[in-house]
Amino acid sequence: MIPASPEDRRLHAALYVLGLLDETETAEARRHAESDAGFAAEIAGWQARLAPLARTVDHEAPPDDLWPAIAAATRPADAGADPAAPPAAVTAPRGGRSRRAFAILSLAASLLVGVLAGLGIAVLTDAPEPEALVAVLVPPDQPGQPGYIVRVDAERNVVLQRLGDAPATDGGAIEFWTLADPALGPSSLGLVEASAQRYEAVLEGDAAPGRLFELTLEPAGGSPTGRPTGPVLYIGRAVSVD
Amino acid sequence: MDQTRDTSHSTQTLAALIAGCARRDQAALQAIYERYASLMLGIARRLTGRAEQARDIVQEAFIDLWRNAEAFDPALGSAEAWLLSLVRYRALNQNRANGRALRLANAVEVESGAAAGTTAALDRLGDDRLADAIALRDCLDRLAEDRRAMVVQAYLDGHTHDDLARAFARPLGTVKTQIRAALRALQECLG
Repeated sequence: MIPASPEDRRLHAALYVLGLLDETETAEARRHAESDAGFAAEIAGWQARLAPLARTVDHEAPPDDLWPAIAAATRPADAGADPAAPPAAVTAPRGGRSRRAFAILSLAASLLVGVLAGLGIAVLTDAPEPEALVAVLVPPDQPGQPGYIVRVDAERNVVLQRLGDAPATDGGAIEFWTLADPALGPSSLGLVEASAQRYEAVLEGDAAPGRLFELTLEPAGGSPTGRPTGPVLYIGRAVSVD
Repeated sequence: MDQTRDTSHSTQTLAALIAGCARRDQAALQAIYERYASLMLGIARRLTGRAEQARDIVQEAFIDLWRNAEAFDPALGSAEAWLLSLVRYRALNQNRANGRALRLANAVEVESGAAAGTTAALDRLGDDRLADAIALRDCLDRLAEDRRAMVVQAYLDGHTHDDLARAFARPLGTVKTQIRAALRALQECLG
């Protein structure tokens, strides 16, 4: 319940900004702010008052694959052939753990964006998107070389689409896995023909952001154990596009 | 890289860059990333205590920014506060979803770390010469030490009322009352 008195509403906004409301109260406050400009202003006021505290936090070096993933997910639908350039450098000016500047990201990052756009796969655009989750799968040692894209819709239908050349299997089989909870371990989504451009499956469990997808090279016929046994060919983590 | 584009974006205010995102200018988003990604990652890491989750939270926050840039209203407050709130609320939601079980597996370690982190945060706030930081530090200084620490740990470490009650060895109701009193005092001081 959003309090009625101005003083209590101001306090409620402060508790929201601090993160001290529970899940139900937080959702209610967020909804209320959408229709009550006064309450939204109270929240914005507390965000501004407390923001200097956020600036005191140790900066952390972003991993090299972070900007390429963001760029791929935000590629404008009407962009031309000129791929988005990688950031020149992201500096971490404060914090003993993270003062170093970061190297220029690989041009492969641009390639990732260009490949997706070239295939007409605008992962996120202004238009409504039917997918609940998207993951770009890359080789573990070549994060700028997208091999597959995974799209999961709101009904948990999974579409795996190959972007590059068919991977070499040397007589083995490619198995498609997903991992939602490390405590439960990965579960198989089936065997994928190396030559296949597209493969479909249905997800069990929640289609939540953070879910891992990977393709491993297994013996012919698939993993004998029900868990990945061979090398990871491609891997990626799903992000929400809600 | 298009140097002309990058130079023009590097001199723009954050509010102007957010407006650029609303016009679907990806270079504006990239300029924000270059300026703020490391801080946003630090905030998410501190709130969740987990590097892998922090990375995903920042990725989603930038996608949020891209999709909802038009929702930013400069009349309602600072662009920086708005931007940082995107990552804070995502991290807080993640903590709620996790039940914080993993993060608080070793409560003693977490609490002693939070106390040290509070001291460091207040020292750094004192070094920040921007007007909003000076005002906040001045008003936090007027609070009793324990109440000041409760506010800082809730904001920076994502501590809940239960966490604070355990950390300060006080009944839950007492902590709730003290936090509210601290916020009222801050409101009065900061205006």
